[in-house]
Amino acid sequence: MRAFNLALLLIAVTASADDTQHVMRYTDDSGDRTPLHTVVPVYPEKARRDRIEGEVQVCYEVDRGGRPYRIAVRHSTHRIFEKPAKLAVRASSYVPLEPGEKRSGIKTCRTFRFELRPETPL
Amino acid sequence: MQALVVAVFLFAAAGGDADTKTVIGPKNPALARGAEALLAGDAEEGIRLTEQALAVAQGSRERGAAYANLCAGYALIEEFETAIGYCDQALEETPRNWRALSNRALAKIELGQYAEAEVDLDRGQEIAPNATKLKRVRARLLDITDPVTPTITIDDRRDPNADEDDDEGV
Repeated sequence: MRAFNLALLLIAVTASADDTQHVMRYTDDSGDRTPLHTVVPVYPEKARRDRIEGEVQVCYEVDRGGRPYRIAVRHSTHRIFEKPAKLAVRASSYVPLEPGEKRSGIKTCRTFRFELRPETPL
Repeated sequence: MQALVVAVFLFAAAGGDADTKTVIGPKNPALARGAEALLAGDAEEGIRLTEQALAVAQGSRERGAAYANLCAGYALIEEFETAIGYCDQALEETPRNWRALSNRALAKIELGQYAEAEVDLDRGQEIAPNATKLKRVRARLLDITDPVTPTITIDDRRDPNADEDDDEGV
C-alpha cells in the first residue's frame, strides 16, 4: 500500500532575500510529480512591519519540463501575501518528465502560511 | 534615524488680504531651509537655521513646526532628552502635531522609555492612522518589546488543514 510519506522539514534558511526567515515544509510524496526546486517566498516588509500574518493557497499546473503554469490564487486571507506566493511558485520547478514518458497534466496546489512567531529568549 | 520625521513647513503663497499683497515663497525662509538641512542629514545646520526661524516665528503653527524640527534635529545628534523637550513644546503649540508625537516616541524608545513611547504612538495614530512614519516607529518599538521571527510554512499536502497529529510522520 502506498502510504503517504509526510516529511516535516524544519529548515533555518538563508532565503533568497531575507536572512531572518525560518521555513517549515510539508511535502507529499504521493503526488504525481516530484518537486525539484522549491522557492521560498519572502515575507513582505510591510506585512512584517505592521505585524500582519496570513495564508495563501496557490493552484497551478505543471508542464513536461517541470515548470508551473496557469498559476492562480485559490484563496488568501490577505492580499499582501498573494504576489510573493505566486512569484515563489513561478520560480519553483518539478522534476521534468523523461522523453516519451506520458503523464496526464497535473494540477496541484501549494499553501503558504506567513507567521510571525515570538522569539524565544536564550 | 530614518524614521525621524521632519515637519517641513513651507508657506507657498498667500494672497487676498486687504492690501492684496501676494507673498511668493515661504513666509519663514529659515524654517524651510532648516527643514531642508535636516532632511539632508545636516543636523547642526538644520538646528542653527531652525533656531533663527523660531526667533521670528509667527503664530502657533510656525512655532509648533520649529519646535518639532528642533526635536528632530537634536534626535539626529542623539541628544534625546533635549529632543523630547522640544517635542513637548511643539505639542503645547500644536497638540495634534502627529509628527512631533512620532519624533518624541522615537526619542523615548532610544532612552528605553517604551511604555511612554507607546502612549505617544497611540495618540499619533488616533490623529493620523495611515501615517507610514508612525507605523515605522511602532514597528521599531515592537521589534524591541515583542521581537518576532518571520516563519513561512510551505504545505504541499492535499489537505493542508489536516490535523498534524493525524500525520503518518517519518
